[in-house]
Amino acid sequence: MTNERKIPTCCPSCGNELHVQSLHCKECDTTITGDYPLPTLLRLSADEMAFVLAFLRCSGSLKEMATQMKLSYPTVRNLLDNLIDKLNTLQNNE
Amino acid sequence: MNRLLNPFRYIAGTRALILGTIFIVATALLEWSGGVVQDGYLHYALKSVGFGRVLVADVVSWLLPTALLYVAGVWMSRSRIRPIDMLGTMAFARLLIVPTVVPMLIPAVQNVMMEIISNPMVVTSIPESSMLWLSATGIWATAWLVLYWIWSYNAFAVSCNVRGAKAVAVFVGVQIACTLFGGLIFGLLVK
Repeated sequence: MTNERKIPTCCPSCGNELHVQSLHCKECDTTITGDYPLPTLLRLSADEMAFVLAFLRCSGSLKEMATQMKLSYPTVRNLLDNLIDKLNTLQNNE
Repeated sequence: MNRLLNPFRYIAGTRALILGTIFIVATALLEWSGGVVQDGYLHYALKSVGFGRVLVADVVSWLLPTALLYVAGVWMSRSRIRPIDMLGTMAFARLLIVPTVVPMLIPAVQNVMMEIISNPMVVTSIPESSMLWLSATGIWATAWLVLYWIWSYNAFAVSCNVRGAKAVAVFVGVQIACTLFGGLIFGLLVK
C-alpha cells in the first residue's frame, strides 16, 4: 500500500498560500533555493483537481462527465464555470 | 436529504422534462376528475371545466415562472444557460403539486369548501370535525407548497448557476409577478 503524500498549498499556521523555497535533485544531490510561487493548478483544492483530471479524461465532454459523476449536466457545467472563475481570480492575483 | 431538497443536482434536461410532462398531465387528470381547476397561480377553485382548460391552466402555471426565471437567469448569470434545463427542472418540480391537489379531491373536504364559498357567513355553524378536515388539508397543502418553492428555487439556481441573496430576491419577485399576472391569464382561461 502506497502512502501518497500531498504537497501542502496553504500555511497551517496562518492559512496563506505557501511558496516553494527549495528544490532538490535526488541523483546528484543538488539543491536550488529561491522563491517560486506554486503553479496555478497546484493551488486548487483536491476536489477541484479531481474535477480537472476527470474533465481531461472525458476529453472535455460535460455530458460524459455528468454520466460518470452521476450528476446532472447543469451541475457539472456549474462546477466548471465556478472553477474557471477561481482560475481567473488566481491568475489575476499573480 | 440533499436529494430530497435539491434533486436537480442529479436530474435535469430532457429526462426531467419527460418526467415533468408526465407529472403535469397526471396533475391535470386528477384536477379534472375531481372538478378542481387553477383559477390563479397556485390557486385552486372547485369548478367543472373541460380537461383541455385544466391542462392549459397547469401548463401556464409551469411556463409562466419558467419563462420569467429564464429571463432573470440570462440577465444575472455568467454561465451559458440551456432552456431545456430550465424547462425540465421546473416541470419536474411540478411533481409536488400532485400531493397538494389530492386532498381537494376528497368529497368531505369539497363539501366544506363549497359550503364556505356559497355562504361565508355560516362558517361558525360548520361542524368541528369538518373544520378539522379543512385545517388538516390546509397544513398538508402548505407543507407541499413550501417544498415546491424550495424545488423551484433550486431548479432556478442549478439551471442558471445563481445563488445568494440576489437569486432569492429575484425568485421571490418572480413568484409575486406570477401571482399578479397569473390572475389576469387564469381569469381568461377559466372564465
